[in-house]
Amino acid sequence: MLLLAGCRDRDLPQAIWLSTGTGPAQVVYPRAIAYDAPRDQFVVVDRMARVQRIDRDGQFVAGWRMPDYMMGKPVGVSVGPDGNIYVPDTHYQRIMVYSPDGHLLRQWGAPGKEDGQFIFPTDVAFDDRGRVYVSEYGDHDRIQIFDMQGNYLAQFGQFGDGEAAFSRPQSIAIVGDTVYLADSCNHRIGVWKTDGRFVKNIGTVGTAAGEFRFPYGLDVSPDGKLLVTEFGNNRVQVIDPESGKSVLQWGRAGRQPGELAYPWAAVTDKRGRVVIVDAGNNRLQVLQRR
Amino acid sequence: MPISLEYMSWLQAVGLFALLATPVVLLGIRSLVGLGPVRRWVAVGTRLAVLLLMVLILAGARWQKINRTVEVMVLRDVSDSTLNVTSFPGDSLQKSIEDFLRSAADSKLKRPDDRIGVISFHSQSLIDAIPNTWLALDARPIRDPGNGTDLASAIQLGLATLGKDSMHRMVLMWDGNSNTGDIEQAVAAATSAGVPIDVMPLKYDVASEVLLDTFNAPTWKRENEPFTMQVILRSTNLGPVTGKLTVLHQGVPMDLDPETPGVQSGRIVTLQNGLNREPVRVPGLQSAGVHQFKASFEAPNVSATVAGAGGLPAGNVGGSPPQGDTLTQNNVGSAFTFVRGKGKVLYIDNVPNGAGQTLRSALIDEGINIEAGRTTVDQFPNDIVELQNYDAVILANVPRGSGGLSEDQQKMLASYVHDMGGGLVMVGGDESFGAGGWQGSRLEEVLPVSMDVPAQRQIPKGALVLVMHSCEMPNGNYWGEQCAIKATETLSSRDEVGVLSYAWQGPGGGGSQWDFPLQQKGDGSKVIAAIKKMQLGDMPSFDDMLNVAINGRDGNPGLKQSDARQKHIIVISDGDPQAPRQDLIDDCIKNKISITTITVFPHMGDPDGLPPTMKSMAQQTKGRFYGPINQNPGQLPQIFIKEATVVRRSLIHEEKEGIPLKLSDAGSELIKGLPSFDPIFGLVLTTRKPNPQIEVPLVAGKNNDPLLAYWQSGLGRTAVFTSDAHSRWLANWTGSAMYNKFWSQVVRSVARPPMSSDFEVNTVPIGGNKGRITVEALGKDNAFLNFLSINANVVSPNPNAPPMQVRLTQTGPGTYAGEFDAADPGNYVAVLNYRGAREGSGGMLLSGMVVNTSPELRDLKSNEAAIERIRAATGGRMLAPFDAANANFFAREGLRPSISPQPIWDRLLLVLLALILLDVAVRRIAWDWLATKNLAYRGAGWIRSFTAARNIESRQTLDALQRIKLEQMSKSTTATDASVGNRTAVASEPLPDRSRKFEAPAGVEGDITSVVGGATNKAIPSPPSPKQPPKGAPQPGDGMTGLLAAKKRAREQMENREGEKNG
Repeated sequence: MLLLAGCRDRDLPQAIWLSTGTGPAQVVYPRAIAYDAPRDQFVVVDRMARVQRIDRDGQFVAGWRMPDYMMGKPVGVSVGPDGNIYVPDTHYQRIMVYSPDGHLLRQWGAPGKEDGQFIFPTDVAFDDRGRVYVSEYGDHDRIQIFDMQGNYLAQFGQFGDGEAAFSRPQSIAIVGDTVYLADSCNHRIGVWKTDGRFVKNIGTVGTAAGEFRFPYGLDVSPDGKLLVTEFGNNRVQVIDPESGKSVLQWGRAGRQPGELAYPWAAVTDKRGRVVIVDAGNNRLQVLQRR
Repeated sequence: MPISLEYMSWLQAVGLFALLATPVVLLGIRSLVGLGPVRRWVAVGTRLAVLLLMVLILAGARWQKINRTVEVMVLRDVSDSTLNVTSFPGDSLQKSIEDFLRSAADSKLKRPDDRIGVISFHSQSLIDAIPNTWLALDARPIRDPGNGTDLASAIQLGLATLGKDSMHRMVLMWDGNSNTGDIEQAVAAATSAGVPIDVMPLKYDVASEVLLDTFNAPTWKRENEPFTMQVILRSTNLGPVTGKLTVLHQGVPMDLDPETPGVQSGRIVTLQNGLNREPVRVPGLQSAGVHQFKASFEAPNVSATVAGAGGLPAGNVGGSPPQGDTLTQNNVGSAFTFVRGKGKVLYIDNVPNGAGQTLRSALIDEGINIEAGRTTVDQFPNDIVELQNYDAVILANVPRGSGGLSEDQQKMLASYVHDMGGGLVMVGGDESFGAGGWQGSRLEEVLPVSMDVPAQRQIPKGALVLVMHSCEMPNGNYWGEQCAIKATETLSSRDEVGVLSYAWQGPGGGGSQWDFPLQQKGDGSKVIAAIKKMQLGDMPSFDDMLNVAINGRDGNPGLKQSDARQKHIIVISDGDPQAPRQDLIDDCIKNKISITTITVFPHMGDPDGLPPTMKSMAQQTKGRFYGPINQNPGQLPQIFIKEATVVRRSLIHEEKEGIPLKLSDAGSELIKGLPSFDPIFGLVLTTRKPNPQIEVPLVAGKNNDPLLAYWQSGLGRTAVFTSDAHSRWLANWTGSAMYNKFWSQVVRSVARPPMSSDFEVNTVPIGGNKGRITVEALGKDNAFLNFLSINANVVSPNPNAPPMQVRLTQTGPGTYAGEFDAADPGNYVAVLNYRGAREGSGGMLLSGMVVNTSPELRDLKSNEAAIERIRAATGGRMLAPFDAANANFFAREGLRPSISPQPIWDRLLLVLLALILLDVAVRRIAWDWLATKNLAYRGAGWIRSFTAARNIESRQTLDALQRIKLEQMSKSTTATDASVGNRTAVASEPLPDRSRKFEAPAGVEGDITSVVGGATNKAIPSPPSPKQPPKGAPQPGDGMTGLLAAKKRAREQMENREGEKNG
């Protein structure tokens, strides 16, 4: 079971990475993070449309900028099974695929509501069969499925606040044939199957354990627990996907170490550390699980 | 000195110390005799040290930390004149500069802690990169287009930005031309701060340029009086340049060659090097008012020739400089002339269905000259000069903001009235006065009524919720603040206002929160203070926002709980948040809550550019939707003003049976000869301002609401009529004879009197960004008029700048002159008031001038002398252009070390406490000096033991000296203390090697100490036999008895000494 450094919200992080600015290892309102397990590195995207690769100690390794950013900046990033970096270029309605050192390899997508088109793509995830799942919102919320080259295969889901619907799926994560998605504006976690079947929803709106306010970030830890980053509650919760119960919570609103402002995402690495994107404080906070 | 004092000078501190120390020393000498000489002076010294520390703490002693880090601030000229620079290594000058800066700031050329920042400047200075160990040039602020160069403010900003914990240098990249600001003062500040300014000149010398230097037109002419204007063109080409001169009059090309049949709209002129004068003859102008002219010289499209080159196009022929025109922006100039004649009135009418024509016709029937070319709001002048065409302006049902007058226009109109003596009549309607958003405007200040209504009137109020999500646009927080403030200003004190934004923390966690909970506006100070504290967050969903706006949150009510008659929500957003639930929209419809959306910088949307959510919310709730707004955010406050008036409809007071009127001032000029007035059917509620100069001839209803009010505001006069002027509210008046008479009297009462034609007035630009007004005052008998008092109000093209007050001084017989600042390009209008010595003599004069093209575009050569002056004054270096390898930004040579005072009172306090303890100990404890001495010896030996290995030779020398000393001592005494002999013997032996302490060499036997050091195998002396105390003497260990014995011995010794002295 995942255990963070204690379960009290006052616990301090093991480390704080990155600072405010536009230089290396500096960020302005970071919004997404991905863990590159083979390289044991992290990829961070901020509101300056910069993609930075940092090492396991938070040191700058490489960085580049998205080709276009006047219309808006990406809100997600993922590392594919091929080792490449997939960036949903949210406001340019496309998926950009970069090599680990930042060379653009390919891209797909166009504005629209047709198959293979996007309104605001938010996140990318991969299943065991090498298929790419892209979440999107903006009057046409859905999950689209592509092959690794970006060819459209299928889609599922719809906008709404009913049972088998979602509103602004900000993040997705896949374990086996189960798709978890952060149904952020319905304040819950949706559980679906990769074939598009709806399973259940976890949580409701609120501030208590097991409740959510604008869950933006979603990751699955090696022990199968869900790591949910709540934009609205300024905290990270560990959720048991079976029972839907909160195992523990960490963080509270604030500017000090151990406090969060507008957290967007969190990931776990192979050391059991949890790295949280503390967007409003322009930093990453690193926790060690026991 | 490494220590500085914050609160005292050193002299004061020394004086204070001396003051306190003197009694301590004197008293110590007298009262501490019993301690013996050593203890006494130690005690006195300790106490003096205590005093010294106390004085240092009181004086605010600070340690002067010396910093060696270098901080470089680059000042980079981005003004238009740098467009003339042609010598740079890269694609463009600015890119070349950036490449140069990146190379010069390379980490290999600096120490890790050295910092570099960049300020770019034209007429405005902005920080491109804050000083950092890493030069970041890709996050520059958005800057407005400049109009000039203000190096002084850039230097001052640079000085203000430099940190105190480093040595400083500035690097100036400049062309040497600056046209505003006090450079000398700024350089003096840099010099006194010890900041050298290295310079890298941006050189240019435009050899092929033509510019329109001056365009002179007479200020005043009479109708049908021909005159001549002068166009002065300057050419820097060595040879002649031929081009076409065109002059427009009121936008229509003039015939520049009247001798030739037909209209010759241009004139081919050949310019020689230097100034060229081209006269333009203007036939008599037949209409009164302002006549504007625009001259332009087109060089690129004409045969810009090289002398002797046979009319070849411009270019570098045979190595000679190219002929022609480098900059075309400076080939245009404007001028205007006032033509005296019958005055005109501008009538702007926003009355629906053409009903405003009623008043227009009535005024024309009364012989008032109404402007025919401008009738609607969108035709309202944008130029202060154009307004001078009119003696009065009438606004009928014209709102403020979107669909009405812009902020610049309303400020200009207020200035036209207050500073230029123009007349204004504001006529009511459902989009006028408070219902038209005029509350809080500059124009309201010149009106005799205010738009607010006293609370006791109990009129229905409105409720407005502002939803602020403008953070995704450039300067989003700033514009959000401006919009919210403008909307709030538009509301009355009784209206309710609430401000919502997404906040990352709050009572219920992150979400939509009230920045200002929905409540009565009051005087507005609280809500504006709250708006200024807003921190706009990234709103995920409109759902949450709408829920709070309608239903409230955390004990604060929403619009559903409000008893306001009009309820309205204004949403500003990029449209990114998720759409609201339909039940919330239905709730709005049910509760008559309208939503207006303003889309700013959307990320995508329908073909019309609007996100569907933004349109849908407005359409379903019968609000309006604006946008997408992707540029010119200055229009946003206008929209907020207009939308805020939705909740001010309650100011419209209508009664179908009619509202009776009362004459409150029958003697007023405005209603002279009009004995009675029929009831009206509606008006907009206002309040008379508390000023005794205000006349309110007509009031309406039982509350005596102002219907007609009038006053003098500054130089001009304004009148308001709070009902409309047509058949909706004034049906009883229209068509009657009194209607025409009433309105003509009102308009004539406020109209500006004809300008005086007594004097000749000239206003012309002079050098140094100045303008000069000259008045030649001649009496009717052509005699000079002396000792006049002439004051001028000069209105500049900047609508936000207050008018300049200029007092003209007499410079000769009947001649008066005054100067004013004229740095901005555009039209300057001067209204002069003069008074003579005689009672009642005086009048107004109107004049003006044009400043053509930015001064930036007149600098054709870089000013290297100015650059060198700055370098020399500050002790900076001359850098070779774009030579990053030798720029050496971070060199320490010549930089003044920076000193950072560090407070040390806390450390001094600790030392002070220790000294106080020592002070007490010295006085209260009887020190055994021999034991102290031994302790000191042991301590010294212990310390020496650490240095023995390194200083073995020194140790031997010291041992030898010590041995000699002890031998001398042994000779001088008869004591045969064995221990002394032992010590001498031990000292004469070489010291053991401590490094071999645990390494016994093979074959060593016997005394282990011979190997490991430490004690020797010498015979241990027997301890001295203890002395037997005399019988009855105190036993060792008995403290009190010991002290008594010691006291007794001391007394005996003192008595012996005194006896010896006496003996």
